Amino acid sequence: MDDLIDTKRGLQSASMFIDPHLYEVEMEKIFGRCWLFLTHESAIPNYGDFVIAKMGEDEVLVVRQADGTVKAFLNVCRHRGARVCPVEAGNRRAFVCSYHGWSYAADGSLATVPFEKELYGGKIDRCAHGLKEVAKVDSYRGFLFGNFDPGAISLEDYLGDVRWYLDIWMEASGGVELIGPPARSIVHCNWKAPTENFVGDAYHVGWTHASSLAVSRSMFSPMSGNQRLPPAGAGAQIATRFGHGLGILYDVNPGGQPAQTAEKILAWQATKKGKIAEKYGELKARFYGSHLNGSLFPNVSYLWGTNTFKIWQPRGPSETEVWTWAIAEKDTPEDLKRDIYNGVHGTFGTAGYWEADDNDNMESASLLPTGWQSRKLRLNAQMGIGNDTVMDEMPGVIGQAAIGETSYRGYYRFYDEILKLPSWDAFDLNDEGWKQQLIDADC
Amino acid sequence: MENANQIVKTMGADVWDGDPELIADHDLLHRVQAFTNREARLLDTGRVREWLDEMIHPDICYVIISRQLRYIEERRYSPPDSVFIYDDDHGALNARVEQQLHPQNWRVNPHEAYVRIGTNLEVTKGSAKDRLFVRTNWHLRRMRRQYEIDDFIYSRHDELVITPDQGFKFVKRFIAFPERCVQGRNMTLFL
Ligand code: FES
Ligand SMILES: [Fe+2]
Repeated sequence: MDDLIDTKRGLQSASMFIDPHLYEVEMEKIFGRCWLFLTHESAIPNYGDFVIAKMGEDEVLVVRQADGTVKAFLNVCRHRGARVCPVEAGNRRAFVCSYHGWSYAADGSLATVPFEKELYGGKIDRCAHGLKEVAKVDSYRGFLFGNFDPGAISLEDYLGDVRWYLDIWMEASGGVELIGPPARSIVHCNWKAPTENFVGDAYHVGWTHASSLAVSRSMFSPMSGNQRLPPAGAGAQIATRFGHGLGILYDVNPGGQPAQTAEKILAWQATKKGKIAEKYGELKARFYGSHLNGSLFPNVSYLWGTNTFKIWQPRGPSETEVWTWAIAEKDTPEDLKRDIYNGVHGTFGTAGYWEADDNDNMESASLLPTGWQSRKLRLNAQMGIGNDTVMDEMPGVIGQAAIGETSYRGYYRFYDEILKLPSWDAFDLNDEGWKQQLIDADC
Repeated sequence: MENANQIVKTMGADVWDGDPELIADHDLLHRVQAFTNREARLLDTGRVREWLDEMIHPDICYVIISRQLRYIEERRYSPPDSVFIYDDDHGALNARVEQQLHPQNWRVNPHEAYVRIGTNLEVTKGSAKDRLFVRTNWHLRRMRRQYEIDDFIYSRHDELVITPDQGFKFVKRFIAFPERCVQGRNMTLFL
């Protein structure tokens, strides 16, 4: 584990994509302790509304309570462990297991046991057999997250510096929603391979997506085939304390959307920008009109501008299930919302051609380290190393170029830290040393 | 977004909910069969440009949905239950064709191989005089690189326009993809 991540030099061991032992450790130390995305509040507005979510490989039932709060439970019957709820969403006041018929109330408590008196003779402790509750559930601007660790820091602290950037599209925009149920498909890659790509890989866009850029006539199209670099000062990359990171391309918000939709989005945003600048300042207003690609540690990715929201669900070291939603500003006119939606599923959905472009790279990078010698190689994330810095107006550690690997380095810096962290009790929220670690890095 | 039931109606695929009167005209059936066979052959052999130009109507509405799992008796939960995997018009299909044929589409170099096996052909009257509804079942296998095999099995609901020369063009395609979580990696191929 010690030589897995070399933060000082911006290197990672290729074995991190394949090692089954490491995968088990990740489930325990990362998915067992970090805040994981569950759903958006708008999917479960009413008492008894529920959705199924995944936290690592654990299936959880996320239920709106009578008092308006949200609880989450393992979707596992406390009798013999069968699945309690077989659907993905709905409204229920009680969940009945299909095996022997135990039923659970919306608050997770064990409600009825068939023939309880006759068969158990009063010897079953009902209180001890409620659905196993996820220790913490909290919401950030409508996005619900869960945490299995009762000792974990708060969601707000965990998001930390990245909140400033999330607020651009989650708050200053007037608020967003995730449209419809997610698209779901299987990618044969490690869960980190796509997450690291979205956290900060503007480098691959012109090359991996050369053909998609060429045909989509989008604002990003001039990059097709690496014909052109974004000009100096065209963007920035940001790394934060907990591995969350992003890349910004200034002033090209509807980046990957096809030309027609992009035009409509620009016109729509122009009507809102003035007010946003007034309320949140010029910088945030500019970022609102920029394209942001980012990941939240450990496994959420988003594209603000290409309107994509994804979660990469691990299914063993070599398989990932991806869930994809379209994001839209709540007040977007319905016809534009539909265009945006189609743009998202046409590019990054199950039949999205950008998505397919990416699949091959993520799959081969994840599977080739099965080779004993390939596994010993180090993966390089050194682009822009030594130039990372801090800035007054933007939180986090900043790489001052549109293309670089600053947020890769930030992502794996925290990955390393959390794997080694004995418990959240041993964590010092005020320690700023992580910034220096990134700034001092050099090859 | 809509619920699956509404989408099925919009696409005219609800005609198959009952038992519509099937067309028994052998000559017509034979020509429809030949048409769908040709489509499968063009798509299997990478002739996507000819497929789009010669077989697809300019007003094409090409829809594949994935339906969220819900309780059958669900009454109180009403958010839309469907994801549009495809909701393409002619322009969107054209972009996909251009992308497949683009020399810098690394994904299809080396060539992917496909085999489509179609069966269960049924034909009934369409939504207008010069139209036909066609229902078929398919097994589409994609084989690529050294080891990848992806399978897609589905029922397809097409509507054909009969052209003045007694040929056809596809004007609607509707598939409710039966796997909720698509195991076949991605669906950047034409079903
Ligand atoms: S396993 Fe659920 S009731 Fe027995
Ligand atoms: Fe990509």
